[in-house]
Amino acid sequence: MRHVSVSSFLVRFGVLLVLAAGFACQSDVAKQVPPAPVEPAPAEETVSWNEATSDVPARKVQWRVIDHDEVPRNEAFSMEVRVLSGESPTSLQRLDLKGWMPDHGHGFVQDPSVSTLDIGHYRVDGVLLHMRGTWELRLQLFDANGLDVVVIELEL
Amino acid sequence: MLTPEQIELAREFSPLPEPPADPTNAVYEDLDAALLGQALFFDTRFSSNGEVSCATCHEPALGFGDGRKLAKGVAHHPRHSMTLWNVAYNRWFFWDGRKDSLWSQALGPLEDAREHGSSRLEIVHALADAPELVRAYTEVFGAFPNVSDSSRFPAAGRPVAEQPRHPHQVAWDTMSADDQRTVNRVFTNFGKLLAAYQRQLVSRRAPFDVFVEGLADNDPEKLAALSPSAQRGFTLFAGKAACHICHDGPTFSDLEFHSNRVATGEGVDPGRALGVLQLKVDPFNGASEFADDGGARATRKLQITPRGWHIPGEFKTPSLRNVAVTAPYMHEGQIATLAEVVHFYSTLEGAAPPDPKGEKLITAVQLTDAEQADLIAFLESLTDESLPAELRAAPAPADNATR
Repeated sequence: MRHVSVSSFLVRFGVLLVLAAGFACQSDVAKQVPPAPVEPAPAEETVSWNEATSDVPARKVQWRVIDHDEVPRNEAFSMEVRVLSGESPTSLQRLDLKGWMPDHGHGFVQDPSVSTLDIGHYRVDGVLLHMRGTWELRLQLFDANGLDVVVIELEL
Repeated sequence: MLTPEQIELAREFSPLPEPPADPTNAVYEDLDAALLGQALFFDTRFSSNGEVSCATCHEPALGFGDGRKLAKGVAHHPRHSMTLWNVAYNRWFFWDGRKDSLWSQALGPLEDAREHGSSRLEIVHALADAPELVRAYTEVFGAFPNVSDSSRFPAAGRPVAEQPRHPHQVAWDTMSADDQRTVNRVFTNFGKLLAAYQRQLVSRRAPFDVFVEGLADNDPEKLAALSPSAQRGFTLFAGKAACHICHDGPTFSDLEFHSNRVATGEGVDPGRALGVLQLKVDPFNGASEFADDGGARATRKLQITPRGWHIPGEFKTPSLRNVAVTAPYMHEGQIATLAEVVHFYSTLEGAAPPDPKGEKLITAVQLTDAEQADLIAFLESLTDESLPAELRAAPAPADNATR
């Protein structure tokens, strides 16, 4: 796996880029599935958060993998996402995660499920990055103002 | 010869760990179950003509395939027989992934009219009529049910989708729900026995694996396991030819589904697009009452497997371990030799046009003749058929169910 850039996440993948834009996701249409049984989140200090900046003023998006030391290739994993306004959690109407491999022209082969842990705090299960290459994890944040898409780009 | 980066990359492909656990099969590691499953695997009594066993299409001497372009059981089949080498590592089963466990996969051919051509009631009766098998079954699962009352347990029968007047369906409909469940339980246990045996068909000590070990301990003898040509082939595999994009990791497969643009025969085989729909309604999928883990994990897996993502004609990426001994290739056996496979991906001669809605994975990699030879040498270095001889045939009577 290539190291493309340095992130706060102390693992071997690189967080290339975080973009925010109000465009529709190109990946397959996901269905809403019943939330998974939510397992306890890890202790707050055990895993550091990655920062992702939204175009929405003052909005900050944080994410981290919670069941692996690093983002695994071709092995399902779970992650947490926090959405803040300033330093305070902010509520959304909904959060979805889509995936896309721009060089391959395909997305996820399974649809992750999202469950709400707290205000602005989400758990995403069943994330599977089944191939090596560049992945875009597209967090879709829905609130009263519409859709905000935050793209986390990973190189596996 | 390899650069430090290439050495690091090689370590991503070896060693192959133990096969993953299968919590849906309580006997997947049970040696008695595996031994009985081995006996069943080679037994022709469970086919409609008494001539077909699992080994008919998965012959050990032919790389646990059949060497044929298209499979042939009691009749002709439109797909090529997949090898069973390392089958337990799969995430999905069959070319189209319409099964999610090895034991459930094993049930499909038994009732396929082109393969064993049997029915679950016939399977259960054939077991009941073989005292030595009943004894062995009882040791693994407990008491074998009494199915001797023909008014409750017809001689033949099974559910037949969308054919309510099929004799098998008519017979099945005469049974009570409890008796149907009894038959289904024995039938699924039959699959779990076969799975326990097939789990042992592991190949993970090929020359390439020895070479990767040698990279770790700098052992010249181990490093010599991979010829210079094969080493160059690896750099092509994981470089210019980019085979590793799909044939990734120690299994040499991403375990998922793609269109590789190999031209197919008449008609359109929907592949995974249909397989995923079949999987979700399969009464023996991992979310069913017959999954020994209560179905929790598989239910979740099935919920998040999308229905509509796949375009027609996507098939599972096969492992490349033992690829040199499992010709012919592709889901219809369209390509006869490994050299022709490499030539196809190099030139895309005769390829089907790309689906505009599909992936953008397949392009002509344009290897020279020398590069193609190197790549073939590497693929041949993935051969390990060192499976113990006693696993390659029906167990000796003293060792198996007849004891």
